[in-house]
Amino acid sequence: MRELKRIFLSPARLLLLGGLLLACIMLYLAEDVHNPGFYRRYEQTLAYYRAHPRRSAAEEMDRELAHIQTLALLWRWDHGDDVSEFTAEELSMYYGEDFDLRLQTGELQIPDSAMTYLFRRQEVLQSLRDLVQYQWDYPEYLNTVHQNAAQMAAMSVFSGQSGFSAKNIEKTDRDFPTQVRLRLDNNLALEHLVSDQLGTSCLLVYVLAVVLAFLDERRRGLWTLIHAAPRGRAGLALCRAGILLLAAALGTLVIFGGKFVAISLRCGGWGDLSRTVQSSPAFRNCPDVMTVGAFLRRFFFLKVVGAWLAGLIVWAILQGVHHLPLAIAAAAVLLGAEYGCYRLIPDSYSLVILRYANLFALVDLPALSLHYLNVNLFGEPVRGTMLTLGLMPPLALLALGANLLLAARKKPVSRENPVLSLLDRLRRPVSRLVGRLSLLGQELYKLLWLQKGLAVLLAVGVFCFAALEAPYPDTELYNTRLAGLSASMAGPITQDTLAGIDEKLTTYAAWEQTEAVRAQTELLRELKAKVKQSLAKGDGAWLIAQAGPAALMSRQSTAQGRKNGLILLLALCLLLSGLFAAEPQNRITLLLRGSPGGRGRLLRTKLLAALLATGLLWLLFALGELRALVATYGPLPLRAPLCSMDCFAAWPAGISLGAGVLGYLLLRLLGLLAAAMGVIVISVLCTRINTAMLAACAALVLPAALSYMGLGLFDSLSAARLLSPMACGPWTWPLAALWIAAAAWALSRLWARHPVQSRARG
Amino acid sequence: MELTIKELSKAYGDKQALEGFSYTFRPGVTAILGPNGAGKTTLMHLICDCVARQTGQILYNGTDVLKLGQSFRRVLGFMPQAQGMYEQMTAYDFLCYMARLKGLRGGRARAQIRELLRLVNLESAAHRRVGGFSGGMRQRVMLAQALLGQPEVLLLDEPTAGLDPEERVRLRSYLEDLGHSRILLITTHITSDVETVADRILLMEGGRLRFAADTAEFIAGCGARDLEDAYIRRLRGL
Repeated sequence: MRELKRIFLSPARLLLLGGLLLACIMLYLAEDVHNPGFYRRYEQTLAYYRAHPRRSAAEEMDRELAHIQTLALLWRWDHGDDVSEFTAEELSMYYGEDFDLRLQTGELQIPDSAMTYLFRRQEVLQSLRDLVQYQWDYPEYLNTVHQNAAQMAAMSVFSGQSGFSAKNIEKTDRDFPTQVRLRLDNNLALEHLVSDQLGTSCLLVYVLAVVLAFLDERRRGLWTLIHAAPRGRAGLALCRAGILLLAAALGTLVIFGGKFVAISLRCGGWGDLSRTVQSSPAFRNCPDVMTVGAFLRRFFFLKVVGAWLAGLIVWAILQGVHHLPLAIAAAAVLLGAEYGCYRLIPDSYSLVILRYANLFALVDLPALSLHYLNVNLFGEPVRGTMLTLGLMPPLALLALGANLLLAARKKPVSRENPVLSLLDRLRRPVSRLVGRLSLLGQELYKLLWLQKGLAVLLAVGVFCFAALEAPYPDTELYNTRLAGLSASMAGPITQDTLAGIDEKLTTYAAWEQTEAVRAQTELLRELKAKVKQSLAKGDGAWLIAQAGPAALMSRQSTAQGRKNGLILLLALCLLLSGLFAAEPQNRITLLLRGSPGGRGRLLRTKLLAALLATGLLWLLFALGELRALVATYGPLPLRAPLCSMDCFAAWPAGISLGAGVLGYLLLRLLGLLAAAMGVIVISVLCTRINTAMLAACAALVLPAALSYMGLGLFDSLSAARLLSPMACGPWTWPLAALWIAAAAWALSRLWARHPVQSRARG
Repeated sequence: MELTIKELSKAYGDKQALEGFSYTFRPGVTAILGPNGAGKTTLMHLICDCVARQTGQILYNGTDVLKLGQSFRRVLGFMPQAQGMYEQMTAYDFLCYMARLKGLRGGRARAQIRELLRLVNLESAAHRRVGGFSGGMRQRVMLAQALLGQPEVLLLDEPTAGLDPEERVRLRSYLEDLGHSRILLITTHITSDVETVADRILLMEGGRLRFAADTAEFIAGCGARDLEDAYIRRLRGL
């Protein structure tokens, strides 16, 4: 009972569970890809069509969709967009031959607000139309599966009864039903639940946190004491296995229960629970015919059992290795390898069996069951999910037995670990090298190596060079209508440019005056006016492709920009929180303050190290973003004058675009340094690294996260704005510089405090 | 070379940790004895300016140590009671880091570190993480860092705690050598550790200096058999 209370009522784990639930729900709500009011409209429209036979529902939807599409074309026409490739047939088809006349007289003018409504209606109708089409096609799909099986069995390469392929075909034929009764209903909630990955990760994190709590006695040096106690061995392990099961159930209940409610509220419920799961397109490849209600019960049950099993396996590994950091490293390597197998092995590989005989498959089994695949087990086709399911009982027994045995037999005092001895030998040359470093080098070594800052930088580097996408161009920064032409004629504006435009105009004049040619001619005239104006001004501007620079220097605080800012701020908090907080945590402050360089010099060196690390973070991000920009929009014309961009047309000619980009990136560095100073001030106020990290995250990451989730109230409080310089006002930068100076002054005062404030000893 | 303390006082809230302490330390080993809460550690913290003093002065060769600042800390070696270290650093790394903070550089620093590691008998463990060290080994690393830079004033707070008998004998003889040329202050509860090496004994109680004398006089003056007996007798006012 005491162990139960220790595990479940620990403030850290309660906070973790609450945080995971909050993160799951907030990120789910933030990830909405639909227009506002989509779910309400979907429910209403579905209620209308539910009573209709499929065919008439589909026909009515098709008619309405065609109507909206035509109105959209007219609206675009009215806004000056080039719709020439549609208008001739489609518009005339809908409005008759006099549509030109009706448009000119204003009879067809469509207000923007009406079009917004129609676009939203179109989204709902299209979703429902796709659903109806899927349900219409599903019997045919099942037929095709069975027919394919019959046809392939007749082919010579598959006809051998003993081969895996032949058996696989037969099994697929047997597994899939011949017919399933489908019902038109709201499947959105079900689809949101099965496509969720974050909830599964959060559940795993909670279970692993509980497993780590079982090893607290090792961390606190109490292992010998517990091991010597009468019930401190197998009895305690058995009790802990039970607690782990409860933790898996609690985690599932809180995380998925919370999400279940959030999904339910957003999507307008789960529909009729007695309909078959195949009514949703997500279950197209799932051969198990069951009701939605049965699937939900199975979902929750499998989550609990899977999380418990995963916890038992990781616990056994952690118990098996004596040295705790080494045990955690071993568990991390196993989890990494398992995740790699789970995510990366393609279906066609024989190793695909490792995807199903996998720790992550145990936790993610309900989602895995949507994908039908037979694996080759000693020549026999076995359904992957059935393999995972079949492995559960023996694995549970094995992991439980291993944990009990290890708890009973593993001694707290062991021989020297050979891996640690090897590490000691490897550490010798590194140690010699570190000994030669200056104080700045030593501080960087502490920050990047001992406090794992290098891992943070590596993670950011991987994100920047593998996952960072180029931002979208801010279309308010340049004339998008002329963008294509300007890009095709890129280069300095001279009389030759003008001549080139005139030449093209002459060519177009000789062509048949179709809509497309007329539109192109209009654009060329507009470009000519711009070129003439530039020549008259003599500002040396170029014609350039402006999409790349406009994407980099966006004025909009976009979701992507907010997400990138959030990641940078999080990295900053992880990187710098230990800068000062590590000293009191290691109880070394007295020693530092008693040494000649432990005051002003150490403060300056630490600050310099922190600023260098921040600079490295900035550089990684800047290089990653530039790489993504160049890959998407082509090389930036850095030598062109900045005034070549429409939004900087009034700027002096002497400044190049390269200097402009550099200035922009330097402003971002200033923003990052201001945020870094915030983290450093928090670090000097805290006496534990974790406390500093939590406080820094609460101060910097939380407002940025809330802003990213769409809570506009936090936009102005979010430090992520500083990383999108064009989205900030002109006073932001003097204020940021002032804050850096004030924070440096505050740091010097805080660091100058006497380390012993209220202690009396000896 | 002298370290003069005049009317030094410090209180933590209502608790008077040190009250009107005055004494002049000269080269040699001075042992500061006293029960828990006597003010020994507070005195050490005040000397190295790790705690703000309330009243009084600490003068090194006639100049206040606050005025001397860094130049005083350059001649100061301090071994605090808490064995705080960066757990993931090796003993050698940690000493190199402390050497940098003390302004020692290059080959001279490394030679001194090697010499000190030999002295505290940690040569073979020099490249192991201090996080895996026993209490005695950590104590020896702390002593080595205090001796870095050959300080003129050495403050050792409970230096023999956690050391095995062999190490204590070794340390005693080393401290005896050190005491000839510098001011060496040792606080301890283990009187046998300082009986043979201390030139002078200060007895503190309740933040006040109760008695100060040469070791021989401290023992003989109260008719005690040894330092431990003298300590108990003097504390009880016999």
